[in-house]
Amino acid sequence: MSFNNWLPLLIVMSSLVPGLVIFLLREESHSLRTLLNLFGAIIKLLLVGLLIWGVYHAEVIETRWTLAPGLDLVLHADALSVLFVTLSTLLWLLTTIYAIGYLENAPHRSRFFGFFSLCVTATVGLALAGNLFTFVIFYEMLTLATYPLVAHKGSPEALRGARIYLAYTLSGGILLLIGTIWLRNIAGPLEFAQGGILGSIEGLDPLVLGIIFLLLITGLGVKAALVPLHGWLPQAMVAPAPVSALLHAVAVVKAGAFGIVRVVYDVYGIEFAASLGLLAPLAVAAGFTIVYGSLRALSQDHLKKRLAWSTVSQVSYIALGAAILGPLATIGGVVHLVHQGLMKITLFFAAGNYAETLGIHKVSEMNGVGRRMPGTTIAFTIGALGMIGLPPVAGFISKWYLGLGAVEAGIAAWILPVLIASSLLNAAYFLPILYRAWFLKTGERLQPAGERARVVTPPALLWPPIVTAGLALAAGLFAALPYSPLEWAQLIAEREYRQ
Amino acid sequence: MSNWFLIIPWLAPLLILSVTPGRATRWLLVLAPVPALASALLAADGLTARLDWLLLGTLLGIDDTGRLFLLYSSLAWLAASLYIQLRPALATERSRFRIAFLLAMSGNFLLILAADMLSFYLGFALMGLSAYGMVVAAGTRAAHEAGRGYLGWTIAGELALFSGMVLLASDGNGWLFTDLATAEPGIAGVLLMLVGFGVKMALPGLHFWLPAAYRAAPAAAAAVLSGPMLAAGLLGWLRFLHPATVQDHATLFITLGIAGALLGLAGGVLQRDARGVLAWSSIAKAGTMTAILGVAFAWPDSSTAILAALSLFMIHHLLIKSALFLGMGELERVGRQPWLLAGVTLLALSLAGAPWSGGAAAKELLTGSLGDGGTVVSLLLMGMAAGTSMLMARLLWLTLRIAPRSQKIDAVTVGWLMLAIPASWLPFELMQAGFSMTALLMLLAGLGLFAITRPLGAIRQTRTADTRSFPVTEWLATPIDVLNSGRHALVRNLRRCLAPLDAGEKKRPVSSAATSLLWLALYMILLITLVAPA
Repeated sequence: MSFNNWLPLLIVMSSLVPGLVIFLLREESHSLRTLLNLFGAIIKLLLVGLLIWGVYHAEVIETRWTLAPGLDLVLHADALSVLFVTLSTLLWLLTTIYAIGYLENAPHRSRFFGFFSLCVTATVGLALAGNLFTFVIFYEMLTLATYPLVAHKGSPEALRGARIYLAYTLSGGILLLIGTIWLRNIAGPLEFAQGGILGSIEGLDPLVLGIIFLLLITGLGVKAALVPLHGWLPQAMVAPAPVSALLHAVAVVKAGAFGIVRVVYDVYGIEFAASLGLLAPLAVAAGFTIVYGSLRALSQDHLKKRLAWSTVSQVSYIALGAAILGPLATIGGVVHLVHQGLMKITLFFAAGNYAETLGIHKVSEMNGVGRRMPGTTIAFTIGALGMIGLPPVAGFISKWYLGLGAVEAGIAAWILPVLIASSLLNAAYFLPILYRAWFLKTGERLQPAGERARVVTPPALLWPPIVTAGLALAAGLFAALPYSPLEWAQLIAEREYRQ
Repeated sequence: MSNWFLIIPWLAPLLILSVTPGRATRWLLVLAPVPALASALLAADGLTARLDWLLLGTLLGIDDTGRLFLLYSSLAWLAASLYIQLRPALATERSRFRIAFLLAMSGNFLLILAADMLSFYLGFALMGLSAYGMVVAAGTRAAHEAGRGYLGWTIAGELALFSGMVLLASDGNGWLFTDLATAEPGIAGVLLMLVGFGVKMALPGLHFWLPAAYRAAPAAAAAVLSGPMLAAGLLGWLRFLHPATVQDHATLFITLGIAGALLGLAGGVLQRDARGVLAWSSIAKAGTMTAILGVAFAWPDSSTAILAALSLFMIHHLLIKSALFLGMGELERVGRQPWLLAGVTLLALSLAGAPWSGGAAAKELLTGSLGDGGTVVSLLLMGMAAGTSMLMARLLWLTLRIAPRSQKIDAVTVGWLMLAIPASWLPFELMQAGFSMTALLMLLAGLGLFAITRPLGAIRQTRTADTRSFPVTEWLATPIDVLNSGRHALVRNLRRCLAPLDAGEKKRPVSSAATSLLWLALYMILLITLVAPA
């Protein structure tokens, strides 16, 4: 066994082990817990560095156990998994730092960080999953690990939000499981392969494949918050800010979107899926979700709720990219996996900062926050402009490739209007926030005169959003540089369309 | 190393942004446009720089058109930043204004030097969006309303431009401007380009933001808005649409351009404030230039000469308008004053194309460059000369009504005058502008027209420059406001579904983005009906 056979396992273990140990720690052992958290996150980051190098040079990096003949648990690194693993690992590190600052003196920190680590373990596991079976296992583990995080505050509202979350995602998980077993029975082991596997298997009934596709996408669509399966997401915003940040940017929602990408590209194969006529319905669902999510975001005064609806909309860009045949759309969708993560985590960090330092939860309370919390607000501004798709922030690059892809596939006539409507709506619900933050004066009603000065945000809360905003900006501004998310997405597209 | 000529011009304002504001570094603002000026003067012909690390790989370059735009845009920015430093005002002293000013400047220079779509778009978006901070700088209610309209339209224009770029890049198989030279764009791409830059050029139907923004912005901001930033719209069309490939759509540009010219004149005669007249005359001028662009598209054989003349025409307008708005700033500040009036008169005469002025030279050059399209455009230019004279006469008449406040003349006024005099001839040489009987006749015709139309805007006595104008103009300018009067059930419903937030601001008007969207939709329908038979 070479090191490459151990690497995926080590990456999963680097958060699993600290997570399990943290459960055993007493509540007061703050330093030890912090040490474990950061140690795990940094080790993982280093390991991921090795992984990137290996995959870039087309090495085979795989851990495999055979549970039963034909039933393997596989962790396998390809370009797509590396993209998602890198994103999760990087943002996990930042979110951990943020969470340590955010939960200072809050109760139940051992429980929180324990499940937090499990949540990341599951995310990384499903990113590295080498077949659909392994993917489903980690996918379910993610559902369960996230539940205590959403319910963390223990308030009736939090418990309700968590219950709704669990109801939705468990039902989705069952559909996914049924689809997987069915497909396993008719098509054999479902090892992910670039270009897809079903296309080369003879004698499959297209109707059955269509039904299974529907089952799989519905199961995944719950987490990816495709309308009408999105109901849990705006409820889940009761979670503490670091959880929301991770939930919306990396873990749950992104896992759904990642699953859709996997199923379309590496199980069905994009060309085969297109020949079965499965892509058009997915594109319509994604397009509808994009517009509907933005429309609903418009009318939310609660900042985190507005951001949650915005996630509903933005994550469907990824599904849209997967549903359009052609390498340019693939690039746009896959790169948005990273870009949306960077931008959205910035926005949630900032929202957490407003709540934590100024007690601001609503958009209508945000007058003049720009002057009081300049660092946070600059980060928020960059994230928001990126969501609208303005250059040079990363969102622009995604939108550009999606647009080009739509033209390439000959469906620009309705995809371009969807993208434009989404941008316009994003502008309509983000710009008023920026306007309040930068151009209006702090309201008399909300803050007494003495409190209008600048406030100091603790560094652990201030720096994570600044770093992620910087990354979102850099991902757009320097998109053509080697190892940029865009270059990686191009690598993926190249490998998916090779045949 | 000479690549720096293409990078420093837009990088310098950004660098200065990071050190401003502080008492000691205030004057850096004036230095910001200097590298651009230096590049325009010193950079070698045909210089290009490939920045593989920027965006998706950026190509910058300088050609004759770019050099012309860069030179005179940087001069206008320089004059504006000097004015900001010399005439400190509450609005322009805020660091917010300075940030917006520097960002917009950087965007402006970047788009001039861009040789590919994406960096042009980056510059254009940076310029357009940052200018919002300049429009609302005064902080008054009117300024915020103007800013809202400005931003809504700018975003709408930018999105149209984005979609147009996607289509053009797909047609041309690449996003360098040279990739576009041979690929014939589809009708959708051309329409989107028309709208995308049409917002900046204030084509009829897309012009609603302009008068309010020019009124509300501080003088220095209005100077760059009406000068270099308007010119960027024309430059956009010159860069994205190649005459060889868009011949079929020339009529569209000509029709809309002439409509814009007429609209501008009609709006102008109804104004009761000097800035309003200047704003509407910009709409008229931009319309004229759009029509001439259309003519260049229609006769691709003579397009090179026409476009060269058109660029000079634009530059002339850029300089005069910038100088006039700075002059308005002076008038608003120190009151009516003989030397100021003399300067404004000189500029107004030049804009109207009076004999021996730069304006006359621009028109002669244009007429000379027209081959087959000559008659149409000559007529248009003659009409415009008379119309502009009429508006300029109104402008002078209105400035005469500004009350004199102080008779003292200080160095700033003199400095402005020193800029205004050459601005009346540039970018032409003094001897290029000759006497022509037509020009004189049109000037006189314009005076006659003014005498007839004078009462239109003169129902009440005008005192200050920012008096609201005639109700009809209001209607022409901002149907949005009419919608906002809020009695109409449809509007109420629209408002309810588009802006149901903000409990504290019940009286909020329909969001600009939504209104812009509605207008844009109407506009697209109109355009489609125009195009459909063809």
